[in-house]
Amino acid sequence: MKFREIISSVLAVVAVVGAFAIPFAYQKQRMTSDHNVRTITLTGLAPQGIWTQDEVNGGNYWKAHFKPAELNLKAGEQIRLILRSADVVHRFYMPQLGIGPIELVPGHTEVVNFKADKEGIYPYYCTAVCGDCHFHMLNMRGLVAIGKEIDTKTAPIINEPLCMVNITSDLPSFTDITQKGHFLFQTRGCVTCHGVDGAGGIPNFNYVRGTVPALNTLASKMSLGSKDEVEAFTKALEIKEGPAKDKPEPGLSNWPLSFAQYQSVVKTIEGGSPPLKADPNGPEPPLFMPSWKENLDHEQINSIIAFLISEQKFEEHTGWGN
Amino acid sequence: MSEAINPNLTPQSVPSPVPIPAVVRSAPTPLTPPPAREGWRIDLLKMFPLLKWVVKQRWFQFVVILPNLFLFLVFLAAGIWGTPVGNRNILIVFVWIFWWFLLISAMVPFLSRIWCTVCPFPFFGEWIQRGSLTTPKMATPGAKGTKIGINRYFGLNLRWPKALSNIWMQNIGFLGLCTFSAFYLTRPIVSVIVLGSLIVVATVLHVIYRQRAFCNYVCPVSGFLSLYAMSSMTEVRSKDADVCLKCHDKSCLVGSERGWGCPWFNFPSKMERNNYCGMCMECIKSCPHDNMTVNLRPFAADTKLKGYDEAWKAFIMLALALAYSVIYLGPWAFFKNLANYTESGVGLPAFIGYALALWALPMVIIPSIFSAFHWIARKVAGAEPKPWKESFLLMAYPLVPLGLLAWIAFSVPLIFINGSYILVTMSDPFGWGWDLFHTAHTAWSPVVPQLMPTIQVFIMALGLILTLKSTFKQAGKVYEDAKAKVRFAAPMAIFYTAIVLLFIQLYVN
Amino acid sequence: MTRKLEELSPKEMLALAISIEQSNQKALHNFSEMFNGYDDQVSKNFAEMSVEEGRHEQILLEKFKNMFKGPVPEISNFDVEEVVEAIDFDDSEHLIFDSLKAKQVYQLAYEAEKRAKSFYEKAMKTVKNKELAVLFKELAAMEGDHANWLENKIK
Repeated sequence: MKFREIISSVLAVVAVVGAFAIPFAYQKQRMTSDHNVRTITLTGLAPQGIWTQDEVNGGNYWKAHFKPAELNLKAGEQIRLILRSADVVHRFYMPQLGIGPIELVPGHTEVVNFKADKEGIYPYYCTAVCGDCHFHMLNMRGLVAIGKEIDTKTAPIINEPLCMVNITSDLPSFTDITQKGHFLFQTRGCVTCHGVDGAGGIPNFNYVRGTVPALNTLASKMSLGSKDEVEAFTKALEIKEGPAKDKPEPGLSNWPLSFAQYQSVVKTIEGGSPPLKADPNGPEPPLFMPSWKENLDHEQINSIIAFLISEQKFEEHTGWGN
Repeated sequence: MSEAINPNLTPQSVPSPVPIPAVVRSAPTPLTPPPAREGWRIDLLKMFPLLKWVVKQRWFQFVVILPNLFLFLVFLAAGIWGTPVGNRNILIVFVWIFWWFLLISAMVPFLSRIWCTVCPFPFFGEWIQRGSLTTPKMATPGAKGTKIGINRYFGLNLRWPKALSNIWMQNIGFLGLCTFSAFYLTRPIVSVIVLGSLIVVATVLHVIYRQRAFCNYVCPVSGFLSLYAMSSMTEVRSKDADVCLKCHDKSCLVGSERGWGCPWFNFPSKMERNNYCGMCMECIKSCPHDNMTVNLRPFAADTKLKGYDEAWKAFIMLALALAYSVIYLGPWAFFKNLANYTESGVGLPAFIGYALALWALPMVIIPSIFSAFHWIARKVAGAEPKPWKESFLLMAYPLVPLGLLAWIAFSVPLIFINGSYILVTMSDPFGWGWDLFHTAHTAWSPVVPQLMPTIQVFIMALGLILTLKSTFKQAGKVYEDAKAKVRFAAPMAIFYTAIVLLFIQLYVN
Repeated sequence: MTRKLEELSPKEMLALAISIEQSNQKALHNFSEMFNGYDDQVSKNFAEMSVEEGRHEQILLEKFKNMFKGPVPEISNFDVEEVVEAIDFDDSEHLIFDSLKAKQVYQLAYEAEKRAKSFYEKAMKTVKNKELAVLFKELAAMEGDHANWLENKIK
């Protein structure tokens, strides 16, 4: 009887300790099977809009603030990249190294093995519009440096509020349509690809133009040749219903052309547009214009256009609203 | 089949001594005769000698709890260190989908409180309390510990407060847990806190109070198990009432060197309901006359609710089945958002409103409607009625089979729609990329979703038949007169039919 | 193989009565142990009754010594068909819902004693053995005394 009691006590202790130890031991054994391979885990996080190397689990996901990943690899290293999503479907893409796009279903794990033999600094992305802070992931935060140090000049970190604010409750009220447009441009994610104040220049691998187009020349594309014309068109944008073809705004030299261009801009914002490949056989460019129909209403789109045309620098003036 | 029925267990065949009847069994008040057991019984331990040998082993309960405890702790570990994604974390998937389904659809209807046999919650508490895992300790002179019956126990072994000797705490606890269901159904860490604290509370209460006070009065799971076990097709009972009467050891209550006295505070030899029997099988071991057994019996054979606490448990369970069907199965995002207010952003006041409604439904609204029908039924019946409480409790009983079937109807889609998550998580419990059983990449594929409403309606229809049958049977216990019985049962039958139709309406739409 | 009460010899009959008192004494003692520290008054009442049953046993033993020679035959209530006197709870959930009052303990025993009395009375009339009939009569009277003792307790 005493023997049975001792055996059961031992078994009970083994069960308790084993329940916690066995899973970790098994995981460790899986991960350290090859000492020449460096294992890096990247977890996509929608609320913060980052990839992180931190451990994200059921216990800390709800409270912790995770650190964005910093990937500094040694040239020639063999890497096992473990990719996870902690919440929603992310799509990992590192085009220059030929990795991805890999769909990351929450809770599943994907593994990519590669050799870091190509020196340089390469961006990686989430190409699924994964949440309000997705546009964090589209910017230059996700960088892998192979055999180099990441240089902050070549990898500017945009210190802007890049998470979309809640449309119904968090949008401040604006009296000026241009200011409202500026706010939306910064907070809806436009800024992450089109750059600060729409200056463009963000590289987009295998995109026909190389970088995401600048938007601060929109006014001239809309045949608005002066500050006055911009002001006049802004007035049309201020009307609740927006500009109408049969209601030309006085003071504009070429209303039909301006209006047609305006319509095409609205169409692109609402419907998005796929990027043209530079090399037709190369990988898909990671950045593309998504559809904004669900996230921006007509008035908001008009205010963004108002902001963008105000960014145009005319010869006689410096741009205003900046 | 009929040959297998133990003839000793039918009420007619209890040997009647000649010429003078057995004295105590025929006693008037306050000693009631042992209740005539309704319907057939099959002595499972007689039928399966191997099963009998197993449950009689001292190691039996330990051996069945141990793997369960191990898995449960692995699940808790997964809740903390595994993926935060709810439907990919084994804790959420196994506890709230798989376990819940098994519990309500298989264990409770067929095997009574078999869950309590294997439940890991009180494991540590009971270990401390007994100072042993498999061997009963005897209260020998000079031995340390507290003497209860003829066993001895460690810990304070205080008596559970008289005022709390009912299942109201369980009622409130369960309702409380259900109010916040959306929090732990989606967040593994909240589930860890809820389930982990159950272990902690169980352990602490075992140290302070006698035996299974936690299970009998506090555990929110135990509360509904106790209610629905009444319907179960299995029971632990004495075989022959005479043997128990003549027994001077009463080991099932006070313990022996073969088994602990009933840890659930039952007197197993006189047990007539499943409610508070945790099926630990101690009485089967401790009985010196081999007079305790496990029977198979008809569905819904225990028909006596003993207090308002039990009746309200039935109201609570029915209301929650209704509310959950609306929240989790219904097409209304509004209700889902209310339940999960932190994520949906509906705001605290809206959530408080939701919580109040969720509490009012079983605590006030349904009981009021029930009482109104009961009042009308008494008026319509005409004849001299039994006291209000007695007929109220008798007529509330049909809520037990009805509620159980409603919960089964609610839970079936859970497993059919989300079953693939079980396959995924069993292969990769932590979401760390394992593939233990090569099922980690099973795609989410609902099984026969188009048949769900049909299955649910079928279950509810079965529920209606059982409920109406039991309504008329119970009415017969209130009124002996056949006409009065029918008049009394009719309004109650309308009430129950309306409830079933409401469920069917929900499931069909 | 259980026997009918009438088939017992007077010596066995008295031995059975002794055994029943012993058995009750033990059961009551066990109940008392169970309620000890739980409901002390209930426990005390059970204990008191256990002692009382012990006293009955002594009286019957004394009687046995006077009437018969040799040791008391081994016969227990399991050897006969009938349940003559047994004290038991009327439901299984007293300890769960704390529904057993101290006075009910006497009540339970009182009912058992009363019925034991009526049992012996009936047996006394039906039994053919004269000696046994006399013994039954004495036992009936004794059970009557116990019932009275308990009745006073209930008051």
